[in-house]
Amino acid sequence: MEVAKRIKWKEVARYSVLSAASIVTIYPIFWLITLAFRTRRDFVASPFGLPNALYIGNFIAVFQTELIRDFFINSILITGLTLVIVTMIGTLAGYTLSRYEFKGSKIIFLAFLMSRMIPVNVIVIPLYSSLSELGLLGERAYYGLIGALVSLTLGMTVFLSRGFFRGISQEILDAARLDGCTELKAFFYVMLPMARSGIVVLTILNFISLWNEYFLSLVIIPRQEMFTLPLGLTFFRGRYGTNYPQLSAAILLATIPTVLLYFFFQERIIRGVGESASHS
Amino acid sequence: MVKNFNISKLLVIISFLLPALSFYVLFYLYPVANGIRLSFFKWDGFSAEPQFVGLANYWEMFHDPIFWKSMMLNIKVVFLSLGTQLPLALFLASLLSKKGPGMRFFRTVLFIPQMLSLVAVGVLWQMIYHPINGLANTLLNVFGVGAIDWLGDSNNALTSLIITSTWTYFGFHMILQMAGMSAIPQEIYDAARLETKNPFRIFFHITIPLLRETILISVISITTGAFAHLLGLFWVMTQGGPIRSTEILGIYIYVEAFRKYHIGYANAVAVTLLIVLALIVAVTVRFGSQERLEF
Repeated sequence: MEVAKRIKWKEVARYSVLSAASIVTIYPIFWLITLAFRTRRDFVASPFGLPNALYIGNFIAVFQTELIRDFFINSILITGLTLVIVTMIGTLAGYTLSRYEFKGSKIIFLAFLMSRMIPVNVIVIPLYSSLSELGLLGERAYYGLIGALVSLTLGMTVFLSRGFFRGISQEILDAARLDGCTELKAFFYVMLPMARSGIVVLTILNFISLWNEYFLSLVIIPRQEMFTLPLGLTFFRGRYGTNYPQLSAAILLATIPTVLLYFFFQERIIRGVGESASHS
Repeated sequence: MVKNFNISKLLVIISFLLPALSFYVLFYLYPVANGIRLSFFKWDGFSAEPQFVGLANYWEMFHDPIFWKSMMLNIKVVFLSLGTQLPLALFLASLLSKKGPGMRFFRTVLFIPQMLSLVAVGVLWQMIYHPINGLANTLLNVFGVGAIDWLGDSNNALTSLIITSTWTYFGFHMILQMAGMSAIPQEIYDAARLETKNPFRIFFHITIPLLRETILISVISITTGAFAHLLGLFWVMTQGGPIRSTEILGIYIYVEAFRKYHIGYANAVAVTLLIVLALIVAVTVRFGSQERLEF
């Protein structure tokens, strides 16, 4: 009896702490959501609790600014292109480093690892100067930006995919070779499909960091029409000022893609983040 | 035949690695090398000819009190981030690692801020910290505490930013630590419970030492993050103000480059930062993994 009672109290304490932490985490976001559905008058009168009525005028107002469509399209374009490039070249490199030992393979791997630990944001000014010399700024800023974003995500991609390919047994590759597969075919038709679930996770993680990327875009993108969504949010902040309901609606709209992904793939995302620490 | 095979193998390796390596060289290595070169020049970014000045930029940097202030502030941010995120992440991870209903729910909720962009986080918390309509002051008002100028007062701004960045990032490190904890065999805990029933002793004498490598990864990521990712958040929320009270090194470099057009000088500071970070990473990895850190 004694013991049972003590254990129960411990559980109560544990659940209280976890509940408190969850409330502190989620309440600001809950506040943001309720804000987006308020009229401005409702917000000034009672900024807390539930709104009086679900008012969708803020979302309509945000949609009616033509620029947000541009920002969305720009974000989709840049994130999409970067994802395609980084997934292709990153998994190919990760695969090579997982299967072939040669002079310098360790150094190459450490070099990629370095760009993961000290990300390209640290050298954003040298990067900017170099892009300027390469002619990848101004009208061609998207080329420079995509290159920089590939560089930002490449280290993680090589690191994780190398881990996934290591988990696939050598016999499968040997069998494919015996069947007359070229190395490239063996990679695309045998190894890549086998590592599929890991690469899906990797792509989701990369999507999230690319979609949300801010500072490189800020430095590299020259004009408003070329803004991505995160830059667009600072634009809306400037335009709406303290019209918090409309600003909240803009934040929510920009956030929807990653939050949706999280709701569908939360198990995989969380497992992927956990694995990104191991696999070394 | 054998030799032939080796050459074709070499060709495969080269052609498979070349695409990734060329991006790496062009958008990481070359900027670093170029940054080192430019750090010896005086250049405003417009005039055709950068002017070679030797070590003058570094000399100027060492004698600029604002550089040292930013560096010290950034180091302070590192320790504040480590001191808040790491204990919180470890504590919550250990609570979540025990079985029980609802654990998945808590884990899902605590990780949510990771899904938001830094801009969304920054703008959201600017609204929270708004002196009149903000969530923070209205909550304080409920408890009868007077309003605080969260971001406008140079004594408070840094604390406010640390609160925001802790809210944003602790969930990520919590997940890392949970993954590390799940790799610790249950038998070790069973054996430890024969010795002591005190959960704190088990936590500090079993869990923490066995988590060494995972903690190391969090330490490196928080430290480099304080110089890299936090820059975006700080820039969105305060732009280094008020009166430079939140001007971390990245913001100092940005202002030197894009507001004052001291491109050569900004490159010198960036190169210095890169060297400092590389040293920190190298020392942490060495110090943290005496026996093994196999790749």
